[in-house]
Amino acid sequence: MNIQHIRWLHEELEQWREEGLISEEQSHRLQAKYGFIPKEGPSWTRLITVLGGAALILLGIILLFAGYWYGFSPNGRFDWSLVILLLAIAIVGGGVWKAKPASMVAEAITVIYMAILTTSTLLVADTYYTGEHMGLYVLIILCCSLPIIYILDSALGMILYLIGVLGWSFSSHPLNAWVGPAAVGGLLLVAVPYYIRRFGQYQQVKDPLLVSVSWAFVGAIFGEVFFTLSTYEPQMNLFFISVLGAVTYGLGTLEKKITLLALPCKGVGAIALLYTIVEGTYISTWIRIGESSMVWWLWLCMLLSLGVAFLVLRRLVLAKRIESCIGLIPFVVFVCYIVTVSGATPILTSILFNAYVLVAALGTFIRGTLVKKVSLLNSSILTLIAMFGARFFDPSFTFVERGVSFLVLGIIVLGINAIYLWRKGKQRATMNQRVRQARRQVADVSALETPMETQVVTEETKTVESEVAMKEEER
Amino acid sequence: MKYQKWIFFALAAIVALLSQFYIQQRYTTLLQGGAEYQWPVKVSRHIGWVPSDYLEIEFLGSYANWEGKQTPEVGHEVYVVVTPKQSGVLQVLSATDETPKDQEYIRANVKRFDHGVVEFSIPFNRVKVDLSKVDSKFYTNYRGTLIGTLKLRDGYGVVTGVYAKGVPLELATPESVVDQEKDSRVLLEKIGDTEQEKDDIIVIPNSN
Repeated sequence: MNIQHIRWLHEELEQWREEGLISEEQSHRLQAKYGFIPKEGPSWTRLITVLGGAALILLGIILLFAGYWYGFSPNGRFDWSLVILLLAIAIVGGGVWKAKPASMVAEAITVIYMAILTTSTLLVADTYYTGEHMGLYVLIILCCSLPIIYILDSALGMILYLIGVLGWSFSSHPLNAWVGPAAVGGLLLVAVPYYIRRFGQYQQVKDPLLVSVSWAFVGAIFGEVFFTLSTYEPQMNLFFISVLGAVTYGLGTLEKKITLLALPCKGVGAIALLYTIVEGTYISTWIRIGESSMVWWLWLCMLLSLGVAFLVLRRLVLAKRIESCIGLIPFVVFVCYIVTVSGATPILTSILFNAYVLVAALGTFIRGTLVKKVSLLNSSILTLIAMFGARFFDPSFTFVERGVSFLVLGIIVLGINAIYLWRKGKQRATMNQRVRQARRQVADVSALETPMETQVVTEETKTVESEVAMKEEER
Repeated sequence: MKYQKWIFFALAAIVALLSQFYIQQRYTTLLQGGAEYQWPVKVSRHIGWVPSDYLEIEFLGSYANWEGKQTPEVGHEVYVVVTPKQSGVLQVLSATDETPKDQEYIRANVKRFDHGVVEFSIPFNRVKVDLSKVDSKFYTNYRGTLIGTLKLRDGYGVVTGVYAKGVPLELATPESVVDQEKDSRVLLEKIGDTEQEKDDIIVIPNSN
């Protein structure tokens, strides 16, 4: 019985007693049995109203500060920033004291702390402006947030932290900044114990937020690799991202037991492979690779990583998975590197790579159609869209060439679609015809069987009636 | 375990507070310990959501010959080697990807690179002024020369003020359009030279 029902019952009991429907004693007994009103948790409506009110107050304070912010002296602004930060620290102190780690309250407190710390840091940075790169402030915010994330065991905080690391990796960064890939790698490394601990707890208790943390973690690892490569060896980006993408995607496809990691690995791996496809189809990429110097240890690293890719590819081939053609991408990229470095024209390499991607996508499409697996169809379509979509911005071709190609491709896609719809319509018509025929046959058969069935039923009824009459006579 | 949690929290709180002081100290150290120089500049006002107290600075002549080992990439940080004239106005010598040892330098970001010349942007591009006192003509369509004063230390810097004919911007009044036009004809490399030769001024012949 919910609270509304209990309240209704109290009102009704009073009325029934006055009308004499029930006695005083009966009313007391009913009240004792059903009348206790339990402590009410906040309803969603109330929660939204309270949050809305709090948000309005917060916005009001922000507006008041915004109007007068630059009216304060720099030291005044600094003091205000410290006050805001101290307030956030006090809130966290309350959380450490009372809130249960990993609870909703702990999550909210961590997010509030991170938001206030970010605001305070940026306000101080704006006050004492030295044109410093954003990376320094992001590093400060992440370093100061991590201990609180650990203390309050906050998954949301960790997701924000990893997004910060990922964002730092993909932002435009100065080459010689003292906060470089090593710092970002370090930030990622100090987050690993958190993940291991939470992953261990996941075995006993289901943790819906850990899936999101896994996504952010896999993404951040990719970001770090991308960042390191683009900082030190930009010409190697394509190859190593293709290896990492293929290995991660392959493992995500094969390792179904660890469900927590399977989807993030597959998803992030697919994004990395799309990057490889788009980047590899550009002629400019191969021109850049052809112009760059490829020292011996880079070749060695490439061969070693191909060894890892081979292990995954072997498992995919043994499992007879069509995803093997995705596992082959790093090998194709490697061959293209050799072709480019040996002096072949970049356009030849680009054609080779494009041809492989086209064949692989069509193979996946056909396989998907045969086994009726939508995910395979989708991935092949996505690959083709990425491949052709990249041409839209490709300066290697003139606008006329690109325009005509897109028109022709569009007409082909529409034509295939029309043929597919026509065939589907024809199939449907044939099937419906068969069903109509079958129904007609069933109707004919039932029409013939009905008089015979009626005769059988009448005979059975007569037998039962005679048996009843005989029993009555015996009595 | 209980105390460990509180110790960890206390340390985190101290680090968070210290980080704010660290940002402040970076600025004040530059202001107090940096060497003061000058640079010809232009100013503009950024109209944002919040009323501000600063003008944005455009450093004129932000290009240099590239002397680094590798081709610079857009957005990457480079070192701009500068040398002061007798008047204190900085002269750009070159740009490189290695930290200069004995020369004054500025950390800048690459904007463009073409035929051995790198165009760069200096990150500390703000000057704090009382905007209510600055004539809006200075940041709308001013063509004369403004001189910015800056403090430099280890390649980092801050702009401390902007002057028009030696007068702080808050107190200065823009000269006439004709004077501004005349001022704009002075070669950038010659700004700050002690004796300016008339030959350096480009004279546009009257079409009439």
